[in-house]
Amino acid sequence: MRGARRRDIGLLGLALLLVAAMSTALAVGPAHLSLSEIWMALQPAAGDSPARAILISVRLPRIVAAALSGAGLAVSGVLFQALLRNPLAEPYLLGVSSGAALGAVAVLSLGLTVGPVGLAAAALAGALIAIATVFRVAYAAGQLDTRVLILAGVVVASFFGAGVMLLLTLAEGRSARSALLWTMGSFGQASWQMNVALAAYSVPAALGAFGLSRHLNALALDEESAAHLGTDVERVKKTSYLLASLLAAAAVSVAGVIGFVGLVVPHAIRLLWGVDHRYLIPMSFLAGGSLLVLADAAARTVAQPLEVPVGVVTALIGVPLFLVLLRRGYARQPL
Amino acid sequence: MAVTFRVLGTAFFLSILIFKLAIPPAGAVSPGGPGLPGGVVVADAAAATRAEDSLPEGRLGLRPHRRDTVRVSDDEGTSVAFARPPRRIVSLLPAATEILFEIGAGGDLVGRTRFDVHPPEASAVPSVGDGVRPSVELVVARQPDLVILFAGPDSRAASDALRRIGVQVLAVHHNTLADLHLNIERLGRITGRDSAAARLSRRIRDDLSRIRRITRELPERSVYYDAWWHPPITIGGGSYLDSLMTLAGGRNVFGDLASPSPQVSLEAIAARDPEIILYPVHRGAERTPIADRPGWEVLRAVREGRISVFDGEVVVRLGPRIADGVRKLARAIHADAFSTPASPSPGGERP
Amino acid sequence: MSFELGDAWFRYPRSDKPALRGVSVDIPAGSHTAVVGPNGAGKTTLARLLLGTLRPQRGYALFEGRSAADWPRREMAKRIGVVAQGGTPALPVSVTGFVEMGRNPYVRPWAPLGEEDRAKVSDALRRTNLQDLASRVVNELSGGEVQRAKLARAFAQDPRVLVLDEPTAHLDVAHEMEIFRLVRDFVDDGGSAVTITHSLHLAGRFADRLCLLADGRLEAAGSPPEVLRSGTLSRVFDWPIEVVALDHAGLTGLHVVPVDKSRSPDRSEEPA
Repeated sequence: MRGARRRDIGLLGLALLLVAAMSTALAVGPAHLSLSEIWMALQPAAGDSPARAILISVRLPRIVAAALSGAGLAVSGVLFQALLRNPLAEPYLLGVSSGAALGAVAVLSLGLTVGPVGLAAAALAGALIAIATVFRVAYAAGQLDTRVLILAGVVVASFFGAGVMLLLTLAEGRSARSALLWTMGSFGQASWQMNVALAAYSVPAALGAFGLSRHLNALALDEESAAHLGTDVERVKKTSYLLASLLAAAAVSVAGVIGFVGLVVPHAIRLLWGVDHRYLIPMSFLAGGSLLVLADAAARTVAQPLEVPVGVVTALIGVPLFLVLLRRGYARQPL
Repeated sequence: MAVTFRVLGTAFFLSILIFKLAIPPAGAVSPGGPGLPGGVVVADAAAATRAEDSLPEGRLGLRPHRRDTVRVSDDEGTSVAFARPPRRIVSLLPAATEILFEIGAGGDLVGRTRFDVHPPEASAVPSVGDGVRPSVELVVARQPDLVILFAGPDSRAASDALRRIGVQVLAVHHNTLADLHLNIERLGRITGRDSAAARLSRRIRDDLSRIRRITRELPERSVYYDAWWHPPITIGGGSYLDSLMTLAGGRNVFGDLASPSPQVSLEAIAARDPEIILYPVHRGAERTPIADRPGWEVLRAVREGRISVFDGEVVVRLGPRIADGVRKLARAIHADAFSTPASPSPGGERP
Repeated sequence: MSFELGDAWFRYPRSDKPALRGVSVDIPAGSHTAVVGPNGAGKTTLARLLLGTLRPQRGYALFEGRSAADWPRREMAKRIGVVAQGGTPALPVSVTGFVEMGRNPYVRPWAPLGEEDRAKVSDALRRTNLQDLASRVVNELSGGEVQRAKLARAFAQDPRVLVLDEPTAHLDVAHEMEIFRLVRDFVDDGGSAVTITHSLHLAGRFADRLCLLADGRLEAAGSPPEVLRSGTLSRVFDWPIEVVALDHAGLTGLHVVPVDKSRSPDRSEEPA
């Protein structure tokens, strides 16, 4: 029971961390706004002002997009690690990002005039095609063979990756640069409209993942034990794959490829609070959101007025943090 | 299996639906922003051009105190409308910055990219960072009434965001000499300096035709433009440099390729056997000298030492100084005929 | 009748020999049935057919009158608790957390454990005498403690039937007895149990009924004296085996004694 209280405190702490991260991110940016300016601009009665426009129309959509993507990627990582029983599994392992990149690069190199939303839709379509292809190969006779899933995923990822390279080679310089910028990942394209779509994917998928948490705990024993504990193993595996892929697809479509969140966050939570998915999933959701919100805030400010790719920041923040946790040893926190 | 595909299919259509419902089509975004009456008529570029053409040439170059609302359409199908010339302009297009200074509107600039260092006065304008994928936040912080930026997918998010906030955005292509003249005309019209803009355009045209008159008499030389060497990247027919090279009396050996910056092979260069290799020098981008590159002696031009080094910076910017760049390009291609500098033109030889 | 098998056949994919060939057996409720037989006889396959994780390719396998493989897993898990073969779970969870998994079939997906769930879990911990180890991490327990924890988890499922697959492999005598005692108590309290074991003498002591499998076929079924016969066992295990009626210091039962071939059978079967 002591463990349960520790985890409840942890969950509360992570929720506060997310709020703090979002507030901090709202307060910092290349345009220097003082705290009093921010306070004044955020009053409901405040009229239109550049400060208000910067806060509400520029910073907040980015922050929300970063929070939703980070949360989704972290939960996606938890699901893939549970499904594939492989600690190295991460949201992009099975071709979601390559599919999305192919969708986006195809649109960019064809020179189609689409806005950020159209680009995100194309990326999502590419990701869904990759997901369906991998699933089609690995799902046979009512069973999802995770070994086939990994192989099919990695191979499909390579295939779509080759498609991206081919298009980049053939594309004229300008669209090649656009495509490159897209794959580096950024929340600069975020808008409220995009966030609505992102939330429509991520929030139900994360809730669905949370609903599976007992079954994921049982699956962590072994498939046969899980079946005897009332888990419909094939259905849970299938659902996990689809939810994890949709979460990754939504994030990658909005922000491009952002590595490390889906790998590092779930492991960090396991190291700190144990392996129980009933906590691991909501905690990863909150911690993943916080990490990306802070990483994006750093991406916007460290080299201002230039923007550093957010994936670079997640790696630079996430990896040392993770190594410290690893060095402390795998703390076996009781469930 | 069927269930899965139905799920994925539903997810896909759902997403399209969400996008469609949540996002008004680009055209529905009011180009004028909230400050303007609704239902702004988007004038097409041709109409704007005709309107300007009908203005008597050589009228007072001063800004009129009163004028009708000026509408100028851009290359993304939207337009800007100004009852009075904008006084707080952010230019995310280095060439536009130069043009604005050239036509006397430099004082209205309140923001520029970090690459805008010409003319020297431009450095006094606050920088907002990159021009491609700009920081919307920094642009907004300058409180602009007009933002000029490149049309295309990289700036689209920024232009959408700015328009939503109510900032007028002129998104333009700037890839060809025709674009240059069109943009000079657009900026002149917006800032109420139509005649200064017309003078600038005419000066560039005159300078270029003066150069062309000389190069037309010279034998055309086939040229390989050494943009990068590992892998070899040159310029194709899609680049404005290709047309500048023609003006300078050269023939780009890869002018048949549509891409502006195609990657080619050493063998393909050898097969096209250029008479001259142009080696542009750029600040801060040192490349291995051609003579030191293993295998490049396969090119006849290399063996015979016909490598022409020139200052690549002068042709990098498709702006008011472009005629100067073409002159230097012509000198690099026809070193013999252009041994002495051609007659300087006003404004053409700025430091 | 809790389980019924009728002419059940099963062959694993990529195997040329069927694991089960036409087994028909009824396993009544309210009894402890032991499934015995040599290695590779098909005991575990039989258990999988009973539990519905495998479906017979011919014949049928019913649980409470319904095809076992067609039971929703959740409903089946409310009725059958399973203790699998030894081996430590690789999961760093506490004993309590491990036993709480037994409540999975009863808890709604997004809901926390209720009062009743917690009561069942502490009852299961008490029955298996694990209260003092409740906060220990399960993969740091000894082999006997792990098997008790698995039994506790099965008890927490509040089942009518226990199915145990080699529950005492690798356990010493005391722990072996402890497990069989708990299962016996469960049956005496009105439950049913099916135990797969290679321990003929424990099966003979604790089970009400035995099923002897050999080479995928049912060789014999019935009460221990009916099944544990020297001739049948010697043939099935391909080794001389004697069955001795034991009556020593108040202990009664059948004693199954494999004969050391190098010695005379007359001496070796003398009870110590």
